[in-house]
Amino acid sequence: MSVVQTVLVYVGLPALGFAVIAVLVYAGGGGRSPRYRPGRGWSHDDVWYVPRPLRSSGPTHRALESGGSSRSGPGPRRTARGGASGTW
Amino acid sequence: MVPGEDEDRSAGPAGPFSLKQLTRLDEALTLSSRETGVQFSLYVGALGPDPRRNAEDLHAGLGGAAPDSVLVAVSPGERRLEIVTGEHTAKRLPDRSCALAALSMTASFNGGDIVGGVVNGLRMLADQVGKPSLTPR
Repeated sequence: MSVVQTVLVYVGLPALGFAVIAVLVYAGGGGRSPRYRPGRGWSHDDVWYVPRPLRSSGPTHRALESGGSSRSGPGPRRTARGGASGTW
Repeated sequence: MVPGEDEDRSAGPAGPFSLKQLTRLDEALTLSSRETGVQFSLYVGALGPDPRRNAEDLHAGLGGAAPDSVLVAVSPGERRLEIVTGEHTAKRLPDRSCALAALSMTASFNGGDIVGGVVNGLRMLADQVGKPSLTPR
């Protein structure tokens, strides 16, 4: 092997391997979806998910809207009977 | 949940979850609600200085569906989780079961996995509630 071939095999190939791995890492885990990290803030809007209704009449949306207006009222009727709390 | 809304939320910067995560959440909420006859709903956002009170107010905001609802409220910014049961659901879902599910969920949240924790927690809650025909009101 000539000097050029030796350098290409022993330096060029490993460098190429590192480059491919680096490209895969930074292209794949580029963080397209925001990831939650405990301790950092949460800057997203408040969201409320409800299950899809079986019938298409969909009373849930109206219920939520009326709930929003009652929240701003003086004192909403208490409906909670139990549950649990947790921190992390 | 309207599918179009999901796409809008995931496209905008304000949406906290990707489309894939939203699909998992939607499936977990819908399946657990249909299996049990209990309406599970999930709130993700700020709960303020009095989280329990705020979560109970949110539960009251469900209106006529509140007695048959279970609200899971997660505040990632304040690292706080609240599970609220209603008049009928409290009989089928004792506080002890809620606490167990809450423990499992907070363990996942501590690892940064909001969606995974919620999905597993909902599954635990739904398993505990059981089928609507088997449990007497």
